[in-house]
Amino acid sequence: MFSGPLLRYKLAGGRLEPCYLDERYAPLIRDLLLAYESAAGQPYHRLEERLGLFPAFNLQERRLFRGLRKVIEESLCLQYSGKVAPRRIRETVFRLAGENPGLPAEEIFTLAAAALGLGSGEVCDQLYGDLARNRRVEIPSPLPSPGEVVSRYNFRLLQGLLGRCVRLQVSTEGNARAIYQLAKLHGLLLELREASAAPAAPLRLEITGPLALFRSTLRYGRALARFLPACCAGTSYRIQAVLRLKDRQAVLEVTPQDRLLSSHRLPRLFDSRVEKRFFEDFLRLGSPWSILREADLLPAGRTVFIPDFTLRHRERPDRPVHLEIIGFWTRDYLARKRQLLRQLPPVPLILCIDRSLRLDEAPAEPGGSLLGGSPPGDSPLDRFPVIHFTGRVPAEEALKKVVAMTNFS
Amino acid sequence: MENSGPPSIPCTFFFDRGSVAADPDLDRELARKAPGGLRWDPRTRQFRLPAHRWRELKGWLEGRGVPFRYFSGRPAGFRPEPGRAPPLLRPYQRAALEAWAARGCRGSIELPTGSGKTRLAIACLLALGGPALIVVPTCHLLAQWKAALEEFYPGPIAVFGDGRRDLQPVTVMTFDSAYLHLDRFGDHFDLLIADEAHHLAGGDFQEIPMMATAPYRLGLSATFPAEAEERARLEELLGSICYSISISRLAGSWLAPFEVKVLPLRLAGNEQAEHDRQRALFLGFYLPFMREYPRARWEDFVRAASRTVSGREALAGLRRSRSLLAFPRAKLEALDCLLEQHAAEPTLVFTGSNQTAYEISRRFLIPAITCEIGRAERQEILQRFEGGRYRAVVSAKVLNEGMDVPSASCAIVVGGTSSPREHIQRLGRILRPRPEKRAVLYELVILATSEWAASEKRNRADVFRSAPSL
Repeated sequence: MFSGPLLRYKLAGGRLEPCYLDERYAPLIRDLLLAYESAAGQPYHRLEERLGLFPAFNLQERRLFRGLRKVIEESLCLQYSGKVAPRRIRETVFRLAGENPGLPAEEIFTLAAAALGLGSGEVCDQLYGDLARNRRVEIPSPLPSPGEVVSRYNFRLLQGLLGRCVRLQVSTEGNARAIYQLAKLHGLLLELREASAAPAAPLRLEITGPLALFRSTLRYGRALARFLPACCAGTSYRIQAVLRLKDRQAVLEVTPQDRLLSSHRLPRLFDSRVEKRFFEDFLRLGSPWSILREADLLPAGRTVFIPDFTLRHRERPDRPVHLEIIGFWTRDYLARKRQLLRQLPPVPLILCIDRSLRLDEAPAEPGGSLLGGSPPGDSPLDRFPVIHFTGRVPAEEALKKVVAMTNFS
Repeated sequence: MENSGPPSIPCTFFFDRGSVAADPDLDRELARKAPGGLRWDPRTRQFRLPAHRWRELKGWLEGRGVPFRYFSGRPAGFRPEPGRAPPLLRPYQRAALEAWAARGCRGSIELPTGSGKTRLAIACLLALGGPALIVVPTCHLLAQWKAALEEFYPGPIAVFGDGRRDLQPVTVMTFDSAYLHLDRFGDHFDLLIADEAHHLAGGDFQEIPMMATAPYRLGLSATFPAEAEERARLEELLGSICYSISISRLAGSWLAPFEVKVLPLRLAGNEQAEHDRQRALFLGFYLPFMREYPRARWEDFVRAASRTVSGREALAGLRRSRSLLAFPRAKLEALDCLLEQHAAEPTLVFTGSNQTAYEISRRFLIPAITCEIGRAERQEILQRFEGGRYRAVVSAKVLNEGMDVPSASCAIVVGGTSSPREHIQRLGRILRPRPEKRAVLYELVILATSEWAASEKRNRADVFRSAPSL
């Protein structure tokens, strides 16, 4: 992630345009990589001198140059190769100088060399040999290709900009759980925004931290920047970030057109075999309904409910139906689920319940069965349509229910 | 729980990630009237206020007899052990403590470096007896505070920062760690002590005191900012400055008497010619630009200059002229002379850059303390310096603030910024009193260059105007 002095961007009308690199920069990067390769085994300050010969005419170009150096130097090692640790050399030299006031420096170096088993020239040279600029450049594995440098540069530039973020808005499909979990992990607040009226409008989330209410704080910027891999992992996303740059604010937008690589792995697609089978069976039906896994967050009181599947009709994607499979369970799990479902507002949701659970009859806690509770009407079973299944969720029955609920066939 | 009441009481507050949040059904009329920055948070559908203002709101609720409950995340029994006998205080330290107590144990105290701020803060901590958090700017200060506390407090003292994550009723934490983590522990402490509190007047670190509910606060610094806006910010976060005493008032009694000697030097003939040539390159672009845009800031100038060939040459000229002033022959000779003259006195040499510090270190064989030298080695160098095994130490910035070098009695400023704060902090390093000690600060300044103006600017502070000088 780039720090402030490496960030390159243009501002126009409150919008921020990151200065991404593309293949046009390949020749420059190739020359830079050659300079690094030929510096192997030499002190770092020699490499710096050589890099100083590269033309960088203005502030933006110097920033670009420093950014590229940072990316390439992630693959370098700086080694100290002397026989005696410089700290020991310093300790000896300064001790001798303290014990022999008035003795010329050359003589102190000679005394130190004798004590350390080095030549006096070596003592002088290696006195600060462990500082980065005096270490030797090592290239343990092949340097990245120009294309890789471009990708890494762009990603770090974007992360650096998001580090200046005071508010992040994400529209995404199919990656809701990962983002939700990251927000919880970092103690951030996740707000569900009204979906736009456009068909197939994806989920819109706004992510901030508690103190953002009082101050346009950057303290969540680093955590928000960590969302980038998760947000960019899906195929369809749109990130809108409000950034604070010195004394002004600007909006940055990122979409898949920006061609950013993400190192984030999508979460495991299915939690169970039952879910996997249902997904495959539903697809096999060839209906006009698309099926997405954990793609939506539904507000449930002060928390959210993430249904297992969201089904969208090809022509009416704005009217999704959600489907939740209740298969393997523990008593606590069911109690939490009941609490969550109770807080859900009226939404088109189908509950698929494993018959072996016998939820509506199960004698369980004082005060009622697990999902079927008392008083009457309070149970989620009364509020949402239910499909009972044994072993395999009947996809055809689910589709019939969906059609019946929406009248879209 | 701070104030328990019957469960039916509607007014409930709890600490929530650096803020204090109200129960969602808090009466809106009450919230509208309440002070303390209580705001509606549409994200969580509840009222919320920054943690540092909880004391104000709590006082208001109590004053109006509004019953409320407060749920804190502070673990049960999170209380310090009883301290040993508090430190003996000097008269001005006692006066400072009384002034602070009179303001409800909330305020800042301005005392010169070396006059015993840590000791005074420990007295405040022991007097209050509640859990206390001390925030400090550097890792070095973590160790220094821990050692000072151990003298008077027998219980465990936690260090949070520098790779350690311990939390106890008495905890010392770096600014960086506090900025990142205090939103989780901000309600654990009754007393917040901010060392070098001027750093909290602006920028991101001002959010550190915002995230704590601690009703009692103590800000410590030798140099509080002069700007009204920054002072007002500190007043809101830590309380107003309730006691202040200058170096001049303490010099000769509780601080060592001192002299400030500005040594005007001249560049050698060829150096001066080269300096003037480079400077002219810079001014040739800078002055017309400033005439045209009199309100332009320095960054505006740099941006404009980097767009043209002559502008870039001007910036290069500025860099070269500055590097010629960093350690020219005249400074080298003067430093040689001064180090010989003060060979028997522990001396600190201050430079403008690490490069110059290393150059001086190699030439005069004195250890350099910079940010690139590991902490253990720095510590070892300071111990040897204190023990008299090293006669001098050279540093660019690391020694400016917070490091305790009580034996030093001579400082030689080879280079630095024009900031009076930096200059006062550097002077403060040599003022710890010792019998017969007479401190002296030399400033090596090249005449007829920008250094002269910078020196005049940093010497504008009262302490330097009233100090005896050459």
